[in-house]
Amino acid sequence: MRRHLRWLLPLAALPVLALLAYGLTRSTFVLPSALVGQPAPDFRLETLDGDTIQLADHRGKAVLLNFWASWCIPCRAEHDVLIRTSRTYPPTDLAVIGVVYQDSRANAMTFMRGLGGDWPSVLDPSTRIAIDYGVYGVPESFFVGPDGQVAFKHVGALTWDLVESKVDSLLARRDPALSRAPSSEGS
Amino acid sequence: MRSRTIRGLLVATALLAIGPVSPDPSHTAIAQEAGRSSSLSDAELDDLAAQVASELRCPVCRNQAVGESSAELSREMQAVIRERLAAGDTPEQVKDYFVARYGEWILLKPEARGVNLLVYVLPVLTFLIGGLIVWRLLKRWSGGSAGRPAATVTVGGTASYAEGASELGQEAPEAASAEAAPAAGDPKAQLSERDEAWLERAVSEG
Repeated sequence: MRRHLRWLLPLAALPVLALLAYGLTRSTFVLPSALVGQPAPDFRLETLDGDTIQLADHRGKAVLLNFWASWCIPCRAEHDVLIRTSRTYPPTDLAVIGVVYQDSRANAMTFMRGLGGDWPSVLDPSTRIAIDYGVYGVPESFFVGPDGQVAFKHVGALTWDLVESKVDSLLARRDPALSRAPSSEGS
Repeated sequence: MRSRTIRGLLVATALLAIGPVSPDPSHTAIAQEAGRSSSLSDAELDDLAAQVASELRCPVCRNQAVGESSAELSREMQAVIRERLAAGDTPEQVKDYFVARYGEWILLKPEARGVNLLVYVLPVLTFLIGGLIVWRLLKRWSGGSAGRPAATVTVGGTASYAEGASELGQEAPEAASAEAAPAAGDPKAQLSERDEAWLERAVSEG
């Protein structure tokens, strides 16, 4: 019995230690999105300028959906990356759409005017779209493929390297359908 | 006589209970027009919404339930819960809606299936195995040295050592019988001397 215990106890402790070690290497702030691989929830919302945007209208191209707020410091930090993104990729390849999270139209407009950027941002009154996307803070960004499925979610400020690699991979996947995409959007 | 009164009261209560259930035609028409709709009253909806909100995790505060949190996101989630219940969703369907967006993490109590079963089984298993080990060890210790006194640890140490030795039918060593005059070479005696000095100091210093 004693001889067995001498081996059994450390062996029993091993999985527990492995579990703890795994837990220590994980960031508790970043949660994997349940939406990856699922169709991106559609929405039809008013932009800061008073236009209306429907996500489904952007089928056939990649979409970078960025949840942000004027009161969010990391959003300020990632803004230059978004400007670079919108200038690098033509609108036929990538649509950058901002979703204003728990913020007023006036504050959001002041933010955009101050920092620049010409991509549209929609207002999300009562946070329903954010809940639809499982957002729990800002900034959060969703990379939606040309097929309308969520390919990747990033929590925190975006970096150029990340945006470039994700968008390029989405566009590379789109290539076979590239010629069809504009015609289907023609209406 | 008394039983008839009680019966009458029971019938009256039953009638009162049935009363509100009998549908108001205008209300039914609105419900049918709206498609799915809950037949619950406002108070019942509130209770049900509060129950669902108590089972969902606030994504902002993490360790609080949506129902307890005052974060803006949680308040909006409470509104979504109530709206969905009012539209005819069951509590399970409402929870599924959030799980589909936030993952199973959003449930404060993980569902007992798959890997999650470990959460429920492991503590019980660990307790049982631990208990078995402790029980076996205790059994071995108590069985192997039946004559040994239970408490041999006192501050002085020497006295109980002597007592223990005499109880075991051994002759107490010189140092032990001489009480506070331990032999220089005996480590146990040295230890007890140090303990006594420490205790005296501790008592005098308060």
